[in-house]
Amino acid sequence: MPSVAGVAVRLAGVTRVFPGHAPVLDRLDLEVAPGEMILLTGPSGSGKTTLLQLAAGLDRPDAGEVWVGDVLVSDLDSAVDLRRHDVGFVFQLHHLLPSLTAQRNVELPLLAARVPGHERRDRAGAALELVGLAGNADRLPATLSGGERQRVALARAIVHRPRLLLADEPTGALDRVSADLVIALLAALRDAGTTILVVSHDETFARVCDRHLVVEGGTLRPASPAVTA
Amino acid sequence: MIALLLGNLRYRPGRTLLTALGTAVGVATIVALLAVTDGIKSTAGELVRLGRADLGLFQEGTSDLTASTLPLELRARIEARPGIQRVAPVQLLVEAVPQDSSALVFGAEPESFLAKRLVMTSGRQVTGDREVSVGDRLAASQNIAVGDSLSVQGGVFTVVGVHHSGIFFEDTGAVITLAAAQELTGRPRDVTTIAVELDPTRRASDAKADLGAALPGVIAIEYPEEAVRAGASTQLIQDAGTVIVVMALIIGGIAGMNTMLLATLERRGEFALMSAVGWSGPQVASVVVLESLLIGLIGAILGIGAGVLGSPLLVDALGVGAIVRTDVTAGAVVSGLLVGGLIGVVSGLYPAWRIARLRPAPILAGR
Repeated sequence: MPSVAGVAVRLAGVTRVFPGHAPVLDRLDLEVAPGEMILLTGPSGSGKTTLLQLAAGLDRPDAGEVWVGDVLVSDLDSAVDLRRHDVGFVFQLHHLLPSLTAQRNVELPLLAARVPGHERRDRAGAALELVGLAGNADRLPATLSGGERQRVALARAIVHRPRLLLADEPTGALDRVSADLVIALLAALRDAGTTILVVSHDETFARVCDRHLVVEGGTLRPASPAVTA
Repeated sequence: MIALLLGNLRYRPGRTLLTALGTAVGVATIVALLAVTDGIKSTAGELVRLGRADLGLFQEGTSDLTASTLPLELRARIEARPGIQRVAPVQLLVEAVPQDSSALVFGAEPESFLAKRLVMTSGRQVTGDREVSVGDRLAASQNIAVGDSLSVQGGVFTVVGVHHSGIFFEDTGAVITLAAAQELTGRPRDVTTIAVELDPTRRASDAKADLGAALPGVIAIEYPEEAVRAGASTQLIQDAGTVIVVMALIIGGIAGMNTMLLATLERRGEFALMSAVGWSGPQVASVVVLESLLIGLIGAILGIGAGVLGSPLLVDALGVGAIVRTDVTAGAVVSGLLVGGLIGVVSGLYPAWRIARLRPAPILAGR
């Protein structure tokens, strides 16, 4: 099934089965418009993280197709180029390299793309400034608070200016103030044209997302108004 | 990339140091052995060219050159060979001076070119059988002066002169008459070596071939490398050194690989993350190999230091401290660095291959 013009992300009939378990995603369909921000919720183990990993090319479906723009991700031997240029990922646990400063952590995607050193430093500095951490560039992750670490991870996810941002529980370990800051940053990115898929149990996201979908039984359904509230 | 590599090494200094120490042990062994074998070569070179002779004649197949025994009767046959200008029979005494066990004592005829070439810095050359001339370095280290007594293998000799020849063993040793030396060994008709001086027109290689053919059981040595090959002990040390070098490489490589594999798998979350943000398999693998290379080079630097400091101890342990000086050459240092780097790269290859095949999704999802 080909990609559709004007669609940023498209999952068509996607099935993913882990050995010994029922299908975690079962013939799932999803279309996301460019610049759209979608909240995905659902019970633990329902396949939310798997869905994001399929969109990033970190995992491959057992059946169906995954498109990001006009790239058929599910057919790629390696989606490294896609992640290097078009996709940013914020992980459930911030996953910073502990031996690198905040600045160096943010530079990682640019280093992989062989961006020259001065440009790398400038862009990483700008990304840190965007998340409000310009003054913490030289600090190691262990010296940062949980909220600061998550914002560093967000800076790393956007430093290469991806078209698609995937965020897996980006506020899961944060206090309310830090969580609101991250939510505001994601909303601003969406307003600037970035397509965003967010997995979160934080209901505050529902207020800023364009759509709220629930992953359940291997498929997607719109959240009920009560849940969306 | 450099910041990434150094950051990882600095962040876990204990593990970096312990891993490097594994390489350091192997490199130290190699550097120490090279220092000893290079020392043996230079030592042998000076022993075979006593009195700045053109050739040194020794008994073939002895454990080492100092254990050579030649009948003095050979002298006439050697002098009769073509192109031979002069010969100087020498009896060597090892560990004969109680004050300094590393000092060698040479028994030489007072009229020989070997004795005559000693430049006296004080006193005179030896003429009598109870007289001894000491090298200037031995005199300085033991505070020996003309007129003093010196014990040589139980006999008491009067110091009649202090000499300098520029040959290490002559300057750190002593010279007595050949007759006195033979008396001390109890073998009046034997000598250790016969130094040969050729006519200026005679090529050393021709003379060597001629003497080898004419005197069965005698080996004529021109170069230090030949001396190393001729002495069974030195050859044994060199062969053992080669075996130990290979073993150090294998053991160091396996131990390093095991450590690197554990360290790498422990950090698979970090590598999965790198893959998730756009690092290709070869890029991630190169980080592992380069880290391993850096650790290998750190180990090499530590090992070279330990090898330089430890080589004199190794010489003593091998029981050749009296006649062998260690010689740490630039070649030994370069070899140490190469071996350390090689151990590092080899250690990193398998862990890198494992990491390059890593599937990041289950790791990042905590599955």
